[in-house]
Amino acid sequence: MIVESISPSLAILCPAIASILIVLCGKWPNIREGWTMLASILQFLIIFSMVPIIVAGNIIKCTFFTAFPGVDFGFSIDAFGLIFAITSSFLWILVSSYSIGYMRSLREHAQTRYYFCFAWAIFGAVGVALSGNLLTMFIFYEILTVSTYPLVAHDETPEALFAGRKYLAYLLTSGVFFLAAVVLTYHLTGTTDFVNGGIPNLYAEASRAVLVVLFVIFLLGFMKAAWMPFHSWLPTAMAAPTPVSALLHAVAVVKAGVFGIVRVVCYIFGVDLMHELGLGLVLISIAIFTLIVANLFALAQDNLKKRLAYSTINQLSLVIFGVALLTYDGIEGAMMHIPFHAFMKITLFMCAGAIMVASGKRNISEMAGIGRIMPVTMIAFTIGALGMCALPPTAGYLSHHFLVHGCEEAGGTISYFPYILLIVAILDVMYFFPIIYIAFFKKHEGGSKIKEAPLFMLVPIAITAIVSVIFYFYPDMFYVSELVETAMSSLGLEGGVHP
Amino acid sequence: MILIDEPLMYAFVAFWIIWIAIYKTPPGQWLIRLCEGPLMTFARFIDFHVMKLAGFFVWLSTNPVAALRIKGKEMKLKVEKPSVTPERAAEYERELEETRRRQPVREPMVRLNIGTAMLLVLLFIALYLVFMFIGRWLAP
Repeated sequence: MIVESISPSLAILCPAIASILIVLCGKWPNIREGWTMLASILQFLIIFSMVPIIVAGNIIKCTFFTAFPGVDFGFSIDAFGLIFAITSSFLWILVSSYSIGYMRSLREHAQTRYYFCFAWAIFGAVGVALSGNLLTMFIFYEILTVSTYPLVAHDETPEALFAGRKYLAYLLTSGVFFLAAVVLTYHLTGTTDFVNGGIPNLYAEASRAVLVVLFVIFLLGFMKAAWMPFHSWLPTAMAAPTPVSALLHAVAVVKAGVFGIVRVVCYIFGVDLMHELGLGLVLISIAIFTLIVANLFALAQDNLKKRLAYSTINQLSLVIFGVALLTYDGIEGAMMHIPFHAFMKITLFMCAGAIMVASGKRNISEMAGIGRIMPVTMIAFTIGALGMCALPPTAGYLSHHFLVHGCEEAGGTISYFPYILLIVAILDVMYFFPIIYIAFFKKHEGGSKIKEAPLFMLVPIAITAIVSVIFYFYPDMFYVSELVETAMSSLGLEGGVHP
Repeated sequence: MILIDEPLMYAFVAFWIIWIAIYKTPPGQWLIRLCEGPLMTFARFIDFHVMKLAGFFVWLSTNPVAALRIKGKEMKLKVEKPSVTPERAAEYERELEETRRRQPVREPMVRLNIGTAMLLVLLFIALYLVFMFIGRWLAP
C-alpha cells in the first residue's frame, strides 16, 4: 500500500535548516554545535518513525512536482532505502559528537564551514536514500558530491586542495555518466522510477547491446562505490579531517555509490534481466578484482587512514559481490553489509582520529605500544578489525555468512567463490592483525604524555564498537534484519538460507 | 551452522598468531613488496587517464561547439595526414591552429567563489523545500 506523508520532507529539512542556523550562530560555537546535535537527533527520530509503516509492507510517498511526464521529483521510501537512511542519520549523531571533540582538540580553522557542509552532506546522503526515482537520486547524489568538496579540501594545504580537485574530477565525471544513464533509461522506458524487480518494459524496449551499454554507463556513474580501477579518489580524499573520512568516506558518500548499484540491479534492471543479459558475471568479476587488489594495496600502506581507505574499497566490493550473485542470500547479505560495514568502519576511522588527536601519530609503524596507553580506543579498533576480517563476534561475520550462502545458492562455478572470500578475509587478517600486534605487544617508545582522547570522541567510538558486536547477537537492532527481509520479500525472490 | 571456509579461516588466524609469536614479524613480507611495486604503477596509470578525462570534460564544457569543432578538425588531420603531401598537412595544421585561436578557450563568465556558489544553490533548494512543505501543510 502507498502511504502519503510529509515525514520524508521533514527528515530532509532537518539538516537543511540546521545548516542555516549553523551559519547564523557561527560566532557561538556551543550554540552552533548544539544545532548540529539537535538536527541529527531530530532527523534520526523522524526517519525511525517511518519504520513501522515500512515493515508492514507499505511504501511512503512524498511527491513535490512532476519534472517530466512520468518522472516525479519526490521521495518514495521503501525498506532498502530506509536501511541506508537510518544508518546515515544515526551515525550523524555520533559523528557530530566526535567532531566536537576532534575539531576543538585540534583547534581547526573554519569550523562553521565544516559543520555547514557536513549538514548538507547528510542532506544529500539521506536524499539519495529516500529518492523514489533515478532523477531525484541524481540531484541528491550531486549535492552530496559538491557539499563534500569543501570538507575534503578543509585543511587548505596543497595536498588537501589537490585531494579536493581529484575528488571533484572523479565524482563529477561520474555524475556525467549517471546523468547519461538516467536520460537513456527515460528514453527507453518513459520512467525512471525504482520498481521492485526492475522496470517491466526495459527489456521489451531495447536490444541486448543497448541494455549492456546502459548498465556500463550506470556503473561508471557510480564511481562513488570506488570499484577498481576508478578508486583512487578515495585514498586521496583521506586528506580530509578524520570525522569526514569517518562518516562520509566510510558511510555516506561511498555507501551512496553501492546503494545506487543495488538500486540499479534490483530496482531498474531486475534480477531476471541481469541473469538474462549475463551482467551478474560482469559485476562479480569487477567485484572480485577490486576485493583482491584493494587488499593488496592496503598491505602496502603505512598510513593508517590510507590503509582503512583501501579496506573500505574492498568492503564496498563485498556489497557489489553480494548483489552480483543475483541470489536471495547474496542480495540479503549485500543489503545487510551496508549498515554493518558502516558501524565497523566508522569505529576504525574514529579510532584512527583519536590516535591522531592524542598522540599525533598517523603511521602504523609509529604506533608501537599505543594500545596500552589508549586501551579503550584500541579495543574498539580490534572489534572493528575483527569485523573487517569477518570473524565472530562481530556483524561482519554475519553478512559474510549470507554472502557464502549466496554463493552456494548460485551453484555451478560460483559455489566455489567462498574460497575467494576466504582469500580476501585472509588478506584482511594480514593487514589488520599487525596493527593490533604493534599496538598491544610492541614496546611504546617516546614520552608518556599521551592519554586517551577526549570523552566527546571516546563515547561515539565505544558506542559504534558495541553496536558492531550487538549486531552479531541481535541483527534486528534498528530493525535492520526486518527491513532487509521486507525489502527481499518485495523483490519477489525465492529461496534463502537463514543462519 | 559452520561455513565451508570457516575452518580454513580459523586455521590461518592460528597460523598467523603462532608465526608472529615465533618470528616477531608478520608473515608475507614478499607480498607487501609486490604491492608496493607493480600494483602501484598500475594504479598511477589509471589515475592519470581518469584525470585526463575529467580535464577534457572541463575543457569541453567551457565552449562545447568550439571544442567539438576543434576535436573534429584534429581527428580529420590525424586521418588524412599520412595520405596527403607535407605541404597540405602543414596547411591543415595551420588551419587547426587558426580555429583554436579564433574560438575563445573560455566563454566570458561571471566567476563566483565555489563556496558562495554552493551556498546559494543549497539555500535555494532549502527555500524550495520549506515552501513545498508549508504548501503541503496548508493544503486541504
